[in-house]
Amino acid sequence: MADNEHKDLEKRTSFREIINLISLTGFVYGPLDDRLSIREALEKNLKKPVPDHVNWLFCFGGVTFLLFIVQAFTGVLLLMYYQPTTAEAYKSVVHITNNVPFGWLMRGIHHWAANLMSVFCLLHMLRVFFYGAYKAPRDFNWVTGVMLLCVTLGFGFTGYLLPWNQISYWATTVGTEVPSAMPVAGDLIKMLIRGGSDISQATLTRFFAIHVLILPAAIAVFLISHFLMIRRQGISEAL
Amino acid sequence: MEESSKGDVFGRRTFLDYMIGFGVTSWALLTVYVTGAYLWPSKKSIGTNTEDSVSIPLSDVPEGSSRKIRYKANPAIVVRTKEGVFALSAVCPHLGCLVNWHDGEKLIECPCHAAKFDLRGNVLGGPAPKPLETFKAEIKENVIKIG
Repeated sequence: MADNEHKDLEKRTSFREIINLISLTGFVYGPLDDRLSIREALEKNLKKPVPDHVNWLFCFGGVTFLLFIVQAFTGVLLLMYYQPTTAEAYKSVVHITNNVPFGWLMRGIHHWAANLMSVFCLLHMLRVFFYGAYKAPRDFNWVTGVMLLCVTLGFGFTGYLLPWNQISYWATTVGTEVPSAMPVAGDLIKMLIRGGSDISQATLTRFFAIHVLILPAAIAVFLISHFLMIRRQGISEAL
Repeated sequence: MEESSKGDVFGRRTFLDYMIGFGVTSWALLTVYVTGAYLWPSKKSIGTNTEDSVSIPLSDVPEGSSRKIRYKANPAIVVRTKEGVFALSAVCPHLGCLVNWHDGEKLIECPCHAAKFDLRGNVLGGPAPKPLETFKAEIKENVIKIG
């Protein structure tokens, strides 16, 4: 490997160790790195300095993202056994919890990380609000952040129905009843969300599709723009 | 970054590096193990009957008909004729399609490449390289007991 190119990066540090460990994965990394300078890019990113005023409160956004990764991981695993039909949904959830090895753990993590993700979303927003970090030129990033909050709450609302037990059934009944209070279009919106006049298989299928396909696609778009903007504009200044 | 350790001294930074490395590695191994155990299909996780013997009601298989069941977690075919009941593996040894009973011709045929078998599993024709596995089957009162 072209060691002299990276001479200034060759000091012994934890990051150095990590990158060396990745390099051990073999010949693919070497030739790939020669062409794309992956080591350098990785080091630059991992070692990017942050401003002096940054404190632990600035971690909430990152924690929210970490929880999202946890949700994506455990969610995919739950998908391997979950069955989105009114006859099988509850049974399959019980099966995951009681029979599948570590199924209780995956379901528990998915449940708690979901709650924590909403909490950390709001904590992150509080920090941004009280530091005034939402102001121009970062106002568009606040907008994508609000969209991310909406998507997160959408995840929570649709995911709540999927176990198809009493609490999820009635919570969804109440939740989808809310828009019907709106004049003129209210009932239409309610019907559209439910896929019919009451909570049925159509609702479960709809919520499942939204939870595992539509919202993940939406959150990816907003996450990427959120991250690109913060990278472009840097962390907001001290108070 | 500061030098992590001077000479052979096992410094604080080196110690912390090791602790972090140990922690991250154990966490990663644990995650891999838990995920593997979760995904690996086992008797419990796929929830199918893997017991040594399976019983189905006699009325489910009228004379001259057949029925596919799961026996020891694999597809099996139960055929009832005048001579009695027969249980065989339903997986064709050629390319793994599920075989059918043809009462008119009195033989078992694979729908994919027309391998033919008799009720003892012997190959009568077609591309099957070996016979179908057979299982013990008997009528006990009103049930067919396989295995």
